[in-house]
Amino acid sequence: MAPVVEVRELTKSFKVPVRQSGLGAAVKSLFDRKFTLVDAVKDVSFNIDRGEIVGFLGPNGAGKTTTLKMLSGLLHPTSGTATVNGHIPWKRDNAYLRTINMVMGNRHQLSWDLPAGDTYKLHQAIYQIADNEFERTLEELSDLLDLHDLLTKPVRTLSLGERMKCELGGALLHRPDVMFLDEPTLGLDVTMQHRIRDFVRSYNLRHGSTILLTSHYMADIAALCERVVVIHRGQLLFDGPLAQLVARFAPVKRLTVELDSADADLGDLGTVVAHDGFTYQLEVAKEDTTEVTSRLLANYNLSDIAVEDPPIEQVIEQVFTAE
Amino acid sequence: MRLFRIYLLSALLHLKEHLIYRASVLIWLFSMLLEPVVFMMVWRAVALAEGGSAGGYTQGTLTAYYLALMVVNHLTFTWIMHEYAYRIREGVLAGQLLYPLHPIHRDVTMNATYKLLGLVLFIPAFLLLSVFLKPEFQFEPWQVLAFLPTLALAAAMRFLMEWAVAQTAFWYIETSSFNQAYYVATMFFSGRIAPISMFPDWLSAVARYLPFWLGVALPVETLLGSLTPEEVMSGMVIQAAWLAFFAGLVAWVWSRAVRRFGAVGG
Ligand SMILES: Nc1ncnc2c1ncn2[C@@H]1O[C@H](COP(=O)(O)OP(=O)(O)O)[C@@H](O)[C@H]1O
Ligand SMILES: [Mg+2]
Repeated sequence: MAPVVEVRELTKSFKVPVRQSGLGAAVKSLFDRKFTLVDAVKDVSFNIDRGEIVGFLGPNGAGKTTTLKMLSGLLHPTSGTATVNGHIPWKRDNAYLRTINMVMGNRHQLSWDLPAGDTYKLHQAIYQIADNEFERTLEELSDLLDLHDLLTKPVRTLSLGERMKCELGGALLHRPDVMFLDEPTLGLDVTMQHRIRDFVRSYNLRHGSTILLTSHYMADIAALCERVVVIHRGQLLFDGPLAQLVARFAPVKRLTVELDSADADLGDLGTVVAHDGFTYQLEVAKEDTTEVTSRLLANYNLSDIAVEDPPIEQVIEQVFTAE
Repeated sequence: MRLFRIYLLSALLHLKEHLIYRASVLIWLFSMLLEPVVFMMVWRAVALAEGGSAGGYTQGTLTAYYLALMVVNHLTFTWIMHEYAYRIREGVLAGQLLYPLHPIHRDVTMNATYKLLGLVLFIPAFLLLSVFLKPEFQFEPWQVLAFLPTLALAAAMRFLMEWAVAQTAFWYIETSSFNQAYYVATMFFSGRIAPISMFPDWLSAVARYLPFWLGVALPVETLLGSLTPEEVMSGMVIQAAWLAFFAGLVAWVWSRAVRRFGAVGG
Protein backbone atom coordinates (compact mmCIF):
# COMPACT_ATOMS: atom_id res chain seq x y z
CA MET A 1 0.00 0.00 0.00
CA ALA A 2 1.30 3.42 -0.94
CA PRO A 3 2.10 5.76 1.93
CA VAL A 4 -0.52 8.41 2.76
CA VAL A 5 2.07 11.08 3.26
CA GLU A 6 5.14 11.25 1.06
CA VAL A 7 7.58 14.06 1.62
CA ARG A 8 10.65 14.45 -0.60
CA GLU A 9 13.42 16.95 0.02
CA LEU A 10 10.96 19.50 1.27
CA THR A 11 12.59 22.88 1.79
CA LYS A 12 11.30 26.22 2.94
CA SER A 13 13.43 29.31 3.29
CA PHE A 14 12.07 32.55 4.65
CA LYS A 15 13.38 35.90 3.56
CA VAL A 16 13.90 37.92 6.68
CA PRO A 17 15.03 41.55 6.80
CA VAL A 18 18.33 42.16 8.52
CA ARG A 19 18.04 44.85 11.13
CA GLN A 20 21.13 46.91 11.58
CA SER A 21 21.66 49.08 14.59
CA GLY A 22 22.34 52.77 14.47
CA LEU A 23 20.51 55.65 12.88
CA GLY A 24 22.65 55.70 9.76
CA ALA A 25 21.95 52.04 9.10
CA ALA A 26 18.26 52.55 9.76
CA VAL A 27 18.06 55.36 7.21
CA LYS A 28 20.08 53.37 4.72
CA SER A 29 17.85 50.35 5.17
CA LEU A 30 14.87 52.44 4.07
CA PHE A 31 16.31 52.47 0.58
CA ASP A 32 18.35 49.33 0.51
CA ARG A 33 16.83 46.67 2.69
CA LYS A 34 19.06 43.72 3.36
CA PHE A 35 17.60 40.26 3.58
CA THR A 36 18.93 36.93 4.66
CA LEU A 37 17.45 33.56 3.91
CA VAL A 38 16.53 31.43 6.89
CA ASP A 39 16.20 27.74 6.08
CA ALA A 40 13.27 26.79 8.26
CA VAL A 41 13.01 23.34 6.67
CA LYS A 42 15.79 21.82 4.62
CA ASP A 43 15.67 18.68 2.48
CA VAL A 44 13.29 16.81 4.72
CA SER A 45 11.99 13.47 3.46
CA PHE A 46 9.75 10.91 5.11
CA ASN A 47 6.72 8.69 4.47
CA ILE A 48 3.76 7.96 6.67
CA ASP A 49 1.51 4.95 6.22
CA ARG A 50 -2.21 4.93 6.70
CA GLY A 51 -3.24 4.75 10.33
CA GLU A 52 0.12 5.67 11.80
CA ILE A 53 0.56 8.19 14.58
CA VAL A 54 3.92 9.81 14.05
CA GLY A 55 5.52 12.14 16.57
CA PHE A 56 7.26 15.11 15.10
CA LEU A 57 9.98 16.12 17.49
CA GLY A 58 12.36 19.02 17.67
CA PRO A 59 13.26 22.01 19.81
CA ASN A 60 11.68 25.42 19.31
CA GLY A 61 12.35 26.77 15.86
CA ALA A 62 13.28 23.36 14.44
CA GLY A 63 10.80 23.69 11.58
CA LYS A 64 7.93 21.52 12.81
CA THR A 65 5.16 24.07 12.35
CA THR A 66 6.55 25.13 9.00
CA THR A 67 6.46 21.52 7.79
CA LEU A 68 2.90 21.00 9.01
CA LYS A 69 1.78 24.24 7.37
CA MET A 70 3.16 23.05 4.04
CA LEU A 71 1.44 19.69 4.41
CA SER A 72 -1.89 21.30 5.24
CA GLY A 73 -1.71 23.66 2.29
CA LEU A 74 -1.12 26.88 4.20
CA LEU A 75 2.38 27.39 2.90
CA HIS A 76 4.24 26.99 -0.37
CA PRO A 77 7.58 25.25 -0.14
CA THR A 78 10.69 26.78 -1.64
CA SER A 79 11.56 23.43 -3.20
CA GLY A 80 10.85 19.75 -2.86
CA THR A 81 7.64 17.81 -3.19
CA ALA A 82 4.98 16.29 -1.02
CA THR A 83 1.83 14.35 -1.63
CA VAL A 84 -0.83 13.65 0.95
CA ASN A 85 -3.74 11.42 0.02
CA GLY A 86 -2.50 11.71 -3.54
CA HIS A 87 -2.77 15.51 -3.58
CA ILE A 88 -0.15 18.20 -3.62
CA PRO A 89 -1.18 20.07 -0.48
CA TRP A 90 -0.30 23.63 -1.52
CA LYS A 91 -2.46 23.38 -4.62
CA ARG A 92 -5.25 23.63 -2.08
CA ASP A 93 -7.80 21.63 -4.07
CA ASN A 94 -11.10 21.53 -2.24
CA ALA A 95 -11.05 17.78 -2.71
CA TYR A 96 -7.84 17.72 -0.69
CA LEU A 97 -8.94 20.12 2.03
CA ARG A 98 -12.01 17.96 2.62
CA THR A 99 -9.89 15.01 3.66
CA ILE A 100 -7.53 16.68 6.11
CA ASN A 101 -7.41 19.17 8.91
CA MET A 102 -4.90 20.80 11.15
CA VAL A 103 -5.23 21.98 14.70
CA MET A 104 -2.72 24.37 16.09
CA GLY A 105 -2.59 26.46 19.20
CA ASN A 106 -2.75 29.85 17.55
CA ARG A 107 -5.15 29.33 14.73
CA HIS A 108 -8.84 29.02 15.29
CA GLN A 109 -11.93 28.19 13.33
CA LEU A 110 -14.46 28.66 16.07
CA SER A 111 -16.13 32.01 16.38
CA TRP A 112 -15.00 33.62 19.58
CA ASP A 113 -18.40 35.00 20.45
CA LEU A 114 -20.66 32.12 19.55
CA PRO A 115 -21.07 28.74 21.20
CA ALA A 116 -18.95 26.10 19.48
CA GLY A 117 -22.13 24.20 18.59
CA ASP A 118 -23.11 27.05 16.26
CA THR A 119 -19.85 26.98 14.36
CA TYR A 120 -20.13 23.18 14.17
CA LYS A 121 -23.34 23.66 12.17
CA LEU A 122 -21.45 25.86 9.75
CA HIS A 123 -18.79 23.16 9.43
CA GLN A 124 -21.56 20.72 8.59
CA ALA A 125 -22.65 22.97 5.72
CA ILE A 126 -19.11 23.67 4.51
CA TYR A 127 -18.14 20.00 4.47
CA GLN A 128 -21.59 18.87 3.33
CA ILE A 129 -22.10 16.38 6.11
CA ALA A 130 -25.46 14.61 6.05
CA ASP A 131 -27.64 15.29 9.09
CA ASN A 132 -27.63 11.77 10.52
CA GLU A 133 -23.91 11.41 10.02
CA PHE A 134 -23.34 14.79 11.63
CA GLU A 135 -25.40 13.80 14.65
CA ARG A 136 -23.56 10.53 14.98
CA THR A 137 -20.10 12.10 14.72
CA LEU A 138 -21.02 14.90 17.08
CA GLU A 139 -22.30 12.41 19.62
CA GLU A 140 -19.15 10.36 19.41
CA LEU A 141 -16.83 13.36 19.65
CA SER A 142 -18.83 14.80 22.53
CA ASP A 143 -18.43 11.55 24.41
CA LEU A 144 -14.76 11.15 23.71
CA LEU A 145 -13.90 14.75 24.51
CA ASP A 146 -16.58 15.34 27.11
CA LEU A 147 -17.97 18.31 25.22
CA HIS A 148 -21.64 18.10 26.14
CA ASP A 149 -21.77 21.11 28.44
CA LEU A 150 -19.26 23.15 26.50
CA LEU A 151 -21.00 23.35 23.15
CA THR A 152 -23.67 25.78 24.23
CA LYS A 153 -21.38 28.32 25.90
CA PRO A 154 -19.73 31.15 23.99
CA VAL A 155 -16.17 30.07 23.18
CA ARG A 156 -14.89 33.27 24.77
CA THR A 157 -16.05 32.03 28.18
CA LEU A 158 -14.20 28.69 28.01
CA SER A 159 -10.84 27.89 29.53
CA LEU A 160 -7.85 27.31 27.26
CA GLY A 161 -8.18 23.54 27.58
CA GLU A 162 -11.92 23.54 26.99
CA ARG A 163 -11.42 25.71 23.93
CA MET A 164 -8.80 23.32 22.58
CA LYS A 165 -11.20 20.41 23.04
CA CYS A 166 -13.90 22.30 21.14
CA GLU A 167 -11.46 23.18 18.36
CA LEU A 168 -10.42 19.53 18.12
CA GLY A 169 -14.04 18.42 18.00
CA GLY A 170 -14.84 20.93 15.28
CA ALA A 171 -11.79 19.96 13.28
CA LEU A 172 -12.86 16.31 13.22
CA LEU A 173 -16.53 16.68 12.33
CA HIS A 174 -15.87 15.86 8.70
CA ARG A 175 -13.78 12.85 9.73
CA PRO A 176 -10.54 13.87 8.06
CA ASP A 177 -8.38 10.85 7.41
CA VAL A 178 -5.20 12.82 7.84
CA MET A 179 -4.80 15.10 10.86
CA PHE A 180 -1.97 17.47 11.61
CA LEU A 181 -1.82 18.39 15.27
CA ASP A 182 0.58 21.16 16.16
CA GLU A 183 1.23 21.33 19.90
CA PRO A 184 -2.33 20.38 20.80
CA THR A 185 -1.46 20.20 24.49
CA LEU A 186 0.53 23.43 24.71
CA GLY A 187 -0.27 25.36 27.86
CA LEU A 188 -2.72 22.79 29.19
CA ASP A 189 -2.62 21.33 32.68
CA VAL A 190 -1.60 17.73 33.17
CA THR A 191 -5.14 16.33 33.43
CA MET A 192 -6.18 18.06 30.23
CA GLN A 193 -3.00 16.87 28.51
CA HIS A 194 -3.93 13.30 29.41
CA ARG A 195 -7.46 13.82 28.20
CA ILE A 196 -6.33 15.11 24.80
CA ARG A 197 -3.75 12.36 24.53
CA ASP A 198 -6.30 9.62 25.30
CA PHE A 199 -8.63 11.16 22.79
CA VAL A 200 -6.06 11.17 20.03
CA ARG A 201 -5.23 7.55 20.71
CA SER A 202 -8.79 6.30 20.75
CA TYR A 203 -9.73 8.36 17.72
CA ASN A 204 -6.85 6.85 15.79
CA LEU A 205 -7.80 3.33 16.89
CA ARG A 206 -11.45 3.75 15.95
CA HIS A 207 -11.03 5.37 12.60
CA GLY A 208 -7.57 4.42 11.48
CA SER A 209 -6.82 8.04 10.72
CA THR A 210 -3.28 9.06 10.06
CA ILE A 211 -1.93 11.55 12.56
CA LEU A 212 1.20 13.66 12.52
CA LEU A 213 1.63 15.26 15.90
CA THR A 214 4.12 17.75 17.25
CA SER A 215 4.60 18.39 20.89
CA HIS A 216 7.44 19.44 23.00
CA TYR A 217 6.09 17.44 25.89
CA MET A 218 8.00 14.23 25.50
CA ALA A 219 5.28 12.46 27.47
CA ASP A 220 2.77 13.11 24.68
CA ILE A 221 5.06 11.58 22.11
CA ALA A 222 6.04 8.66 24.32
CA ALA A 223 2.41 7.86 25.07
CA LEU A 224 1.09 8.12 21.54
CA CYS A 225 3.75 7.47 18.97
CA GLU A 226 5.62 4.33 18.17
CA ARG A 227 7.50 6.20 15.56
CA VAL A 228 9.17 9.57 15.77
CA VAL A 229 10.63 11.91 13.20
CA VAL A 230 13.18 14.24 14.71
CA ILE A 231 14.17 17.48 13.06
CA HIS A 232 16.69 19.97 14.23
CA ARG A 233 17.47 23.28 12.53
CA GLY A 234 15.20 22.28 9.70
CA GLN A 235 17.01 19.02 8.99
CA LEU A 236 15.94 15.45 9.53
CA LEU A 237 17.98 13.89 12.28
CA PHE A 238 16.20 10.63 12.90
CA ASP A 239 13.24 8.65 11.69
CA GLY A 240 12.30 5.41 13.40
CA PRO A 241 10.88 3.72 16.48
CA LEU A 242 11.08 5.74 19.66
CA ALA A 243 13.10 3.04 21.43
CA GLN A 244 15.68 3.10 18.69
CA LEU A 245 16.03 6.85 19.03
CA VAL A 246 17.18 6.41 22.58
CA ALA A 247 19.52 3.57 21.73
CA ARG A 248 21.00 5.55 18.86
CA PHE A 249 21.50 8.84 20.55
CA ALA A 250 22.00 8.07 24.21
CA PRO A 251 25.75 8.00 24.72
CA VAL A 252 25.34 6.69 28.26
CA LYS A 253 23.60 3.99 30.27
CA ARG A 254 22.13 4.56 33.67
CA LEU A 255 23.04 2.06 36.40
CA THR A 256 20.99 1.91 39.56
CA VAL A 257 22.80 -0.04 42.28
CA GLU A 258 22.08 -0.87 45.88
CA LEU A 259 25.04 -1.36 48.17
CA ASP A 260 25.49 -2.19 51.83
CA SER A 261 27.12 1.16 52.46
CA ALA A 262 25.68 4.66 52.38
CA ASP A 263 28.97 6.45 51.80
CA ALA A 264 30.70 4.56 49.01
CA ASP A 265 32.66 6.68 46.56
CA LEU A 266 31.72 5.54 43.06
CA GLY A 267 33.12 8.65 41.41
CA ASP A 268 35.90 6.82 39.56
CA LEU A 269 33.41 4.42 37.91
CA GLY A 270 31.12 7.03 36.36
CA THR A 271 29.06 10.12 37.13
CA VAL A 272 26.90 9.80 40.21
CA VAL A 273 23.65 11.49 39.22
CA ALA A 274 21.67 10.55 42.32
CA HIS A 275 22.42 9.14 45.72
CA ASP A 276 19.84 8.33 48.33
CA GLY A 277 20.83 6.16 51.27
CA PHE A 278 22.08 2.85 49.92
CA THR A 279 20.85 3.54 46.41
CA TYR A 280 23.15 5.11 43.83
CA GLN A 281 22.53 6.15 40.27
CA LEU A 282 25.49 6.17 37.97
CA GLU A 283 25.84 7.26 34.39
CA VAL A 284 28.54 5.56 32.40
CA ALA A 285 29.54 5.67 28.78
CA LYS A 286 27.66 3.00 26.86
CA GLU A 287 30.80 1.08 25.85
CA ASP A 288 32.03 0.96 29.45
CA THR A 289 28.84 -0.55 30.85
CA THR A 290 30.07 -4.15 31.00
CA GLU A 291 33.39 -3.22 32.51
CA VAL A 292 31.83 -0.98 35.17
CA THR A 293 29.32 -3.67 36.06
CA SER A 294 32.02 -6.28 36.63
CA ARG A 295 34.10 -3.84 38.67
CA LEU A 296 31.04 -3.10 40.82
CA LEU A 297 30.45 -6.82 41.32
CA ALA A 298 34.06 -7.42 42.17
CA ASN A 299 34.63 -4.56 44.58
CA TYR A 300 31.30 -3.92 46.31
CA ASN A 301 28.61 -5.80 48.12
CA LEU A 302 25.78 -5.41 45.68
CA SER A 303 22.25 -6.28 46.70
CA ASP A 304 20.68 -5.04 43.44
CA ILE A 305 21.66 -3.64 40.08
CA ALA A 306 19.61 -2.34 37.12
CA VAL A 307 20.88 -1.08 33.77
CA GLU A 308 18.61 1.28 31.87
CA ASP A 309 18.62 3.92 29.18
CA PRO A 310 18.49 7.45 30.52
CA PRO A 311 15.09 9.20 30.38
CA ILE A 312 13.98 10.13 26.86
CA GLU A 313 13.75 13.82 27.73
CA GLN A 314 17.36 13.83 28.67
CA VAL A 315 18.43 12.07 25.50
CA ILE A 316 16.48 14.45 23.37
CA GLU A 317 17.92 17.41 25.15
CA GLN A 318 21.42 16.10 24.61
CA VAL A 319 20.73 15.56 20.93
CA PHE A 320 19.45 19.09 20.54
CA THR A 321 22.15 20.83 22.48
CA ALA A 322 25.00 18.88 20.86
CA GLU A 323 26.56 20.61 17.91
CA MET B 1 -27.14 24.60 -3.24
CA ARG B 2 -24.20 23.98 -0.93
CA LEU B 3 -23.21 27.64 -1.11
CA PHE B 4 -26.80 28.70 -0.48
CA ARG B 5 -26.90 26.67 2.72
CA ILE B 6 -23.56 28.04 3.81
CA TYR B 7 -24.70 31.61 3.13
CA LEU B 8 -27.92 31.14 5.03
CA LEU B 9 -26.27 29.57 8.05
CA SER B 10 -23.37 31.94 8.21
CA ALA B 11 -25.74 34.91 7.77
CA LEU B 12 -27.63 33.71 10.82
CA LEU B 13 -24.46 33.28 12.81
CA HIS B 14 -23.08 36.67 11.81
CA LEU B 15 -26.35 38.28 12.74
CA LYS B 16 -26.03 36.66 16.13
CA GLU B 17 -22.47 37.96 16.45
CA HIS B 18 -23.45 41.49 15.46
CA LEU B 19 -26.25 41.41 18.00
CA ILE B 20 -23.87 40.43 20.76
CA TYR B 21 -21.99 43.62 20.00
CA ARG B 22 -25.12 45.67 19.45
CA ALA B 23 -23.87 48.58 21.53
CA SER B 24 -20.68 49.07 19.56
CA VAL B 25 -22.46 48.27 16.30
CA LEU B 26 -24.90 51.05 17.11
CA ILE B 27 -22.12 53.52 17.82
CA TRP B 28 -20.40 52.54 14.57
CA LEU B 29 -23.61 52.99 12.63
CA PHE B 30 -24.19 56.38 14.22
CA SER B 31 -20.78 57.61 13.23
CA MET B 32 -21.42 56.38 9.68
CA LEU B 33 -24.66 58.29 9.74
CA LEU B 34 -23.11 61.45 11.04
CA GLU B 35 -20.71 62.06 8.15
CA PRO B 36 -23.31 62.71 5.40
CA VAL B 37 -25.46 64.67 7.83
CA VAL B 38 -22.54 66.98 8.65
CA PHE B 39 -21.71 67.56 4.96
CA MET B 40 -25.38 68.13 4.26
CA MET B 41 -25.55 70.83 6.92
CA VAL B 42 -22.41 72.50 5.60
CA TRP B 43 -23.70 72.60 2.03
CA ARG B 44 -27.14 73.76 3.10
CA ALA B 45 -25.50 76.69 4.89
CA VAL B 46 -23.41 77.47 1.82
CA ALA B 47 -26.49 77.37 -0.42
CA LEU B 48 -28.32 79.67 1.97
CA ALA B 49 -25.41 82.13 2.02
CA GLU B 50 -25.22 82.12 -1.76
CA GLY B 51 -28.85 83.07 -2.13
CA GLY B 52 -30.54 79.68 -2.18
CA SER B 53 -28.36 77.47 -4.35
CA ALA B 54 -24.83 76.10 -4.59
CA GLY B 55 -23.38 74.43 -7.68
CA GLY B 56 -26.83 73.98 -9.17
CA TYR B 57 -28.25 72.39 -6.01
CA THR B 58 -30.93 74.03 -3.86
CA GLN B 59 -31.17 73.41 -0.13
CA GLY B 60 -33.92 70.90 -0.84
CA THR B 61 -32.02 68.97 -3.52
CA LEU B 62 -28.84 69.01 -1.46
CA THR B 63 -30.77 67.46 1.39
CA ALA B 64 -32.21 64.84 -0.93
CA TYR B 65 -28.71 64.11 -2.30
CA TYR B 66 -27.17 63.57 1.13
CA LEU B 67 -30.08 61.61 2.58
CA ALA B 68 -29.97 59.21 -0.35
CA LEU B 69 -26.17 59.08 -0.15
CA MET B 70 -26.36 58.26 3.55
CA VAL B 71 -28.34 55.10 2.82
CA VAL B 72 -26.45 54.15 -0.34
CA ASN B 73 -23.03 54.58 1.24
CA HIS B 74 -24.13 52.42 4.14
CA LEU B 75 -25.23 49.74 1.71
CA THR B 76 -22.03 49.69 -0.35
CA PHE B 77 -19.21 50.35 2.13
CA THR B 78 -17.00 47.59 3.57
CA TRP B 79 -14.54 47.52 6.47
CA ILE B 80 -12.58 44.43 5.47
CA MET B 81 -9.33 46.26 4.76
CA HIS B 82 -9.18 47.66 8.27
CA GLU B 83 -9.50 44.22 9.74
CA TYR B 84 -7.34 42.19 7.42
CA ALA B 85 -3.93 42.61 9.03
CA TYR B 86 -5.50 41.60 12.33
CA ARG B 87 -7.02 38.49 10.76
CA ILE B 88 -3.67 37.42 9.37
CA ARG B 89 -1.90 38.05 12.66
CA GLU B 90 -4.42 36.38 14.93
CA GLY B 91 -4.72 33.12 13.02
CA VAL B 92 -8.29 33.77 11.91
CA LEU B 93 -7.28 33.57 8.29
CA ALA B 94 -5.30 30.38 8.87
CA GLY B 95 -8.49 28.81 10.18
CA GLN B 96 -10.38 30.02 7.12
CA LEU B 97 -7.71 28.67 4.80
CA LEU B 98 -8.20 25.14 6.06
CA TYR B 99 -11.80 25.11 4.87
CA PRO B 100 -12.58 23.86 1.38
CA LEU B 101 -14.17 27.26 0.78
CA HIS B 102 -12.87 30.60 -0.47
CA PRO B 103 -12.64 33.01 2.49
CA ILE B 104 -14.38 35.73 0.49
CA HIS B 105 -17.72 34.02 1.10
CA ARG B 106 -17.48 34.71 4.79
CA ASP B 107 -17.09 38.40 4.07
CA VAL B 108 -20.07 38.39 1.76
CA THR B 109 -22.40 37.20 4.49
CA MET B 110 -20.76 39.16 7.26
CA ASN B 111 -21.12 42.29 5.20
CA ALA B 112 -24.67 41.60 4.06
CA THR B 113 -25.97 40.92 7.55
CA TYR B 114 -24.34 44.05 8.89
CA LYS B 115 -26.03 46.09 6.16
CA LEU B 116 -29.36 44.53 6.92
CA LEU B 117 -29.00 45.27 10.59
CA GLY B 118 -27.91 48.81 9.83
CA LEU B 119 -31.10 49.52 7.91
CA VAL B 120 -32.92 49.26 11.22
CA LEU B 121 -31.19 52.52 12.09
CA PHE B 122 -30.78 54.09 8.67
CA ILE B 123 -34.38 53.85 7.49
CA PRO B 124 -35.87 55.56 10.56
CA ALA B 125 -33.06 58.13 10.41
CA PHE B 126 -33.85 58.75 6.75
CA LEU B 127 -37.56 59.18 7.45
CA LEU B 128 -37.05 61.35 10.48
CA LEU B 129 -34.56 63.67 8.77
CA SER B 130 -36.88 63.83 5.76
CA VAL B 131 -39.73 65.08 7.92
CA PHE B 132 -37.63 67.87 9.43
CA LEU B 133 -35.37 68.90 6.55
CA LYS B 134 -37.79 68.64 3.65
CA PRO B 135 -35.68 67.07 0.89
CA GLU B 136 -36.85 67.68 -2.66
CA PHE B 137 -37.17 64.28 -4.27
CA GLN B 138 -38.72 64.09 -7.70
CA PHE B 139 -39.23 60.43 -8.35
CA GLU B 140 -39.81 59.43 -11.95
CA PRO B 141 -40.63 55.73 -12.17
CA TRP B 142 -37.65 55.03 -14.44
CA GLN B 143 -35.31 56.62 -11.90
CA VAL B 144 -36.49 54.30 -9.14
CA LEU B 145 -36.32 51.35 -11.51
CA ALA B 146 -32.79 52.17 -12.63
CA PHE B 147 -31.69 52.88 -9.07
CA LEU B 148 -31.89 49.24 -8.02
CA PRO B 149 -29.50 47.76 -10.61
CA THR B 150 -27.05 50.66 -10.20
CA LEU B 151 -27.12 50.06 -6.45
CA ALA B 152 -26.59 46.32 -6.84
CA LEU B 153 -23.72 46.88 -9.27
CA ALA B 154 -22.22 49.53 -6.98
CA ALA B 155 -22.32 47.23 -3.96
CA ALA B 156 -20.83 44.25 -5.80
CA MET B 157 -18.14 46.35 -7.49
CA ARG B 158 -17.12 48.19 -4.34
CA PHE B 159 -17.04 44.95 -2.34
CA LEU B 160 -14.66 43.28 -4.79
CA MET B 161 -12.52 46.42 -5.09
CA GLU B 162 -12.12 46.77 -1.35
CA TRP B 163 -11.56 43.05 -0.90
CA ALA B 164 -8.71 43.26 -3.40
CA VAL B 165 -7.33 46.33 -1.62
CA ALA B 166 -7.48 44.46 1.69
CA GLN B 167 -5.08 41.85 0.29
CA THR B 168 -2.27 44.43 0.34
CA ALA B 169 -1.96 43.45 3.99
CA PHE B 170 0.04 40.47 2.73
CA TRP B 171 2.70 42.75 1.24
CA TYR B 172 2.78 45.84 3.40
CA ILE B 173 3.01 45.69 7.12
CA GLU B 174 2.18 49.40 7.18
CA THR B 175 -1.33 48.87 5.81
CA SER B 176 -2.89 51.75 7.69
CA SER B 177 -1.16 54.35 5.51
CA PHE B 178 -2.29 52.54 2.38
CA ASN B 179 -5.82 52.32 3.70
CA GLN B 180 -5.67 55.99 4.58
CA ALA B 181 -4.70 56.89 1.01
CA TYR B 182 -7.55 54.78 -0.28
CA TYR B 183 -9.90 56.51 2.13
CA VAL B 184 -8.87 59.98 0.96
CA ALA B 185 -9.35 59.03 -2.68
CA THR B 186 -12.76 57.51 -2.07
CA MET B 187 -13.84 60.43 0.12
CA PHE B 188 -12.99 62.93 -2.58
CA PHE B 189 -14.13 61.13 -5.71
CA SER B 190 -17.22 59.34 -4.43
CA GLY B 191 -19.27 62.48 -4.01
CA ARG B 192 -19.29 62.30 -0.24
CA ILE B 193 -17.52 65.62 0.35
CA ALA B 194 -19.53 67.32 -2.36
CA PRO B 195 -21.58 66.31 -5.38
CA ILE B 196 -19.01 66.01 -8.16
CA SER B 197 -20.96 68.41 -10.36
CA MET B 198 -19.47 71.08 -8.10
CA PHE B 199 -15.97 70.08 -9.27
CA PRO B 200 -14.37 71.73 -12.30
CA ASP B 201 -15.83 70.15 -15.44
CA TRP B 202 -12.75 68.19 -16.40
CA LEU B 203 -12.43 66.71 -12.89
CA SER B 204 -16.04 65.67 -12.64
CA ALA B 205 -15.77 64.14 -16.12
CA VAL B 206 -12.83 62.05 -14.90
CA ALA B 207 -14.58 61.12 -11.65
CA ARG B 208 -17.48 59.61 -13.53
CA TYR B 209 -15.17 56.89 -14.80
CA LEU B 210 -13.73 56.07 -11.39
CA PRO B 211 -15.04 53.25 -9.21
CA PHE B 212 -15.37 55.62 -6.25
CA TRP B 213 -18.13 57.67 -7.81
CA LEU B 214 -19.65 54.60 -9.45
CA GLY B 215 -19.75 52.83 -6.10
CA VAL B 216 -21.66 55.54 -4.22
CA ALA B 217 -22.91 58.57 -6.11
CA LEU B 218 -24.10 56.97 -9.34
CA PRO B 219 -27.08 55.24 -7.68
CA VAL B 220 -27.76 58.41 -5.69
CA GLU B 221 -27.78 60.68 -8.73
CA THR B 222 -29.81 58.13 -10.66
CA LEU B 223 -32.49 58.22 -8.00
CA LEU B 224 -32.46 62.01 -7.83
CA GLY B 225 -32.81 62.40 -11.56
CA SER B 226 -29.74 64.55 -12.02
CA LEU B 227 -28.53 62.18 -14.73
CA THR B 228 -30.04 61.54 -18.14
CA PRO B 229 -31.10 57.98 -18.99
CA GLU B 230 -28.11 57.81 -21.36
CA GLU B 231 -25.74 58.84 -18.58
CA VAL B 232 -27.22 56.20 -16.27
CA MET B 233 -26.90 53.55 -18.95
CA SER B 234 -23.29 54.36 -19.68
CA GLY B 235 -22.63 54.51 -15.92
CA MET B 236 -23.96 50.98 -15.57
CA VAL B 237 -21.81 49.77 -18.43
CA ILE B 238 -18.71 51.25 -16.75
CA GLN B 239 -19.79 49.74 -13.41
CA ALA B 240 -20.08 46.34 -15.07
CA ALA B 241 -16.67 46.75 -16.66
CA TRP B 242 -15.09 47.62 -13.30
CA LEU B 243 -16.97 44.74 -11.68
CA ALA B 244 -15.46 42.32 -14.17
CA PHE B 245 -12.05 43.91 -13.71
CA PHE B 246 -12.18 43.65 -9.90
CA ALA B 247 -13.44 40.08 -10.05
CA GLY B 248 -10.37 39.25 -12.11
CA LEU B 249 -8.17 41.28 -9.79
CA VAL B 250 -9.48 39.46 -6.74
CA ALA B 251 -8.74 36.10 -8.33
CA TRP B 252 -5.29 37.22 -9.41
CA VAL B 253 -4.33 38.92 -6.15
CA TRP B 254 -5.72 36.11 -4.04
CA SER B 255 -3.73 33.43 -5.84
CA ARG B 256 -0.59 35.42 -5.03
CA ALA B 257 -1.66 36.43 -1.56
CA VAL B 258 -2.24 32.86 -0.51
CA ARG B 259 1.31 32.02 -1.58
CA ARG B 260 2.59 34.76 0.65
CA PHE B 261 0.45 33.78 3.56
CA GLY B 262 2.98 31.73 5.47
CA ALA B 263 5.64 34.34 4.97
CA VAL B 264 3.82 37.00 6.92
CA GLY B 265 2.19 35.20 9.78
CA GLY B 266 -0.48 32.82 10.91
N1 LIG C 1 6.89 33.65 8.65
C1 LIG C 1 8.18 33.49 8.96
N2 LIG C 1 9.11 34.39 8.57
C2 LIG C 1 10.40 34.22 8.88
N3 LIG C 1 10.89 33.20 9.57
C3 LIG C 1 10.03 32.26 10.00
C4 LIG C 1 8.63 32.35 9.71
N4 LIG C 1 8.02 31.28 10.26
C5 LIG C 1 8.97 30.55 10.85
N5 LIG C 1 10.19 31.13 10.70
C6 LIG C 1 11.48 30.60 11.18
O1 LIG C 1 11.63 29.29 10.74
C7 LIG C 1 12.17 28.46 11.75
C8 LIG C 1 11.24 27.30 12.03
O2 LIG C 1 10.06 27.75 12.66
P1 LIG C 1 8.88 26.79 13.09
O3 LIG C 1 8.55 25.91 11.95
O4 LIG C 1 7.81 27.62 13.64
O5 LIG C 1 9.56 25.93 14.24
P2 LIG C 1 8.90 24.97 15.32
O6 LIG C 1 7.46 24.82 15.03
O7 LIG C 1 9.65 23.69 15.19
O8 LIG C 1 9.14 25.61 16.64
C9 LIG C 1 12.43 29.37 12.92
O9 LIG C 1 13.76 29.77 12.87
C10 LIG C 1 11.50 30.53 12.68
O10 LIG C 1 12.02 31.69 13.25
MG1 LIG D 1 5.83 25.31 16.27
